[in-house]
Amino acid sequence: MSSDPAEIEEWLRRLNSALAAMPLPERNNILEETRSHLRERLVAGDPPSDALAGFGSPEDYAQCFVDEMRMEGALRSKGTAALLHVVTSQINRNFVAALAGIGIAVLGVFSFAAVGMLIAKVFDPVRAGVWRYPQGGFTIGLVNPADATELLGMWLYPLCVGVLALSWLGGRRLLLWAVRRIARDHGATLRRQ
Amino acid sequence: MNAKATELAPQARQSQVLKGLGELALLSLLQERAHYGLEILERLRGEAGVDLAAGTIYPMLYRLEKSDRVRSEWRIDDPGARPRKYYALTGEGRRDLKTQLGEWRRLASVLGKFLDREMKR
Repeated sequence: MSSDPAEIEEWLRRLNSALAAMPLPERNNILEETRSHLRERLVAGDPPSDALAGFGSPEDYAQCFVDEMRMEGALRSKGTAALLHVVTSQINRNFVAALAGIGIAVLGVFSFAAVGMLIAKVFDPVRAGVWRYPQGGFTIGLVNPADATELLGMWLYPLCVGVLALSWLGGRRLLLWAVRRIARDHGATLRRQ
Repeated sequence: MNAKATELAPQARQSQVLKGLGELALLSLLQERAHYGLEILERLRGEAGVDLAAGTIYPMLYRLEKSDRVRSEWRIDDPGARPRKYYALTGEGRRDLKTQLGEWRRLASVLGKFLDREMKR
């Protein structure tokens, strides 16, 4: 192992660090295959810099594997946390991920509002609700009931639960769509390079 | 300089067109027999004119393996030789190759007819 030129050893050390998110057996497999490739190029007479040039930076090279592993794992498990992780990890370099991130943020705001209203209704049922003012206009939340009429009453509970359920289902669908799309684009990008 | 550029231009253009077909060419190559990474790169470059970078082919093979279209194993070809990771096509990979080949032939036929329309006039 130590017979490899220092330039290659340093590049492989950086690759190993950049692959830290991957399971150890997969990481070792990638490292060994890359080392094997580089050694064959050196034996064929290529200088280390030429042998390394085809891989680009170790961080970018490692990112291809890490992204693929995360996408494949998320699509296989369909777990919300795994799907969300893929989207958030690509939010600054993928348009679909950014779009999905905005959608998830909006749905998150709706969810927080629904949870807030549920808690408020439990602890302050008189003031919590959807209020209509005599002069027109609506307010949702905790207001002074003296000059306004509450519209929903106990229906606020199922409404909030409905908003939460729809946000959850919509969020999951959005995440699944985004990760499938990102995975497809990722494959297409690799095919084009 | 100009002569060299003119000489290389068709080659570069061909390489650009073929890059999008890298996966199809790779699956087709693996249909013959198992290959290792560097061998794949050299055969695709030499025989198909598809000039893929090493940094592209290995993530592509990883993705194909994750989607069960390719399987891999480490082999030592000769005593004392370095181990190489060989990739072979799976049943799923053969089905995908057939689908991709059908799509490519259909596209090539339609595009070919379109591009030849002026010649027939």
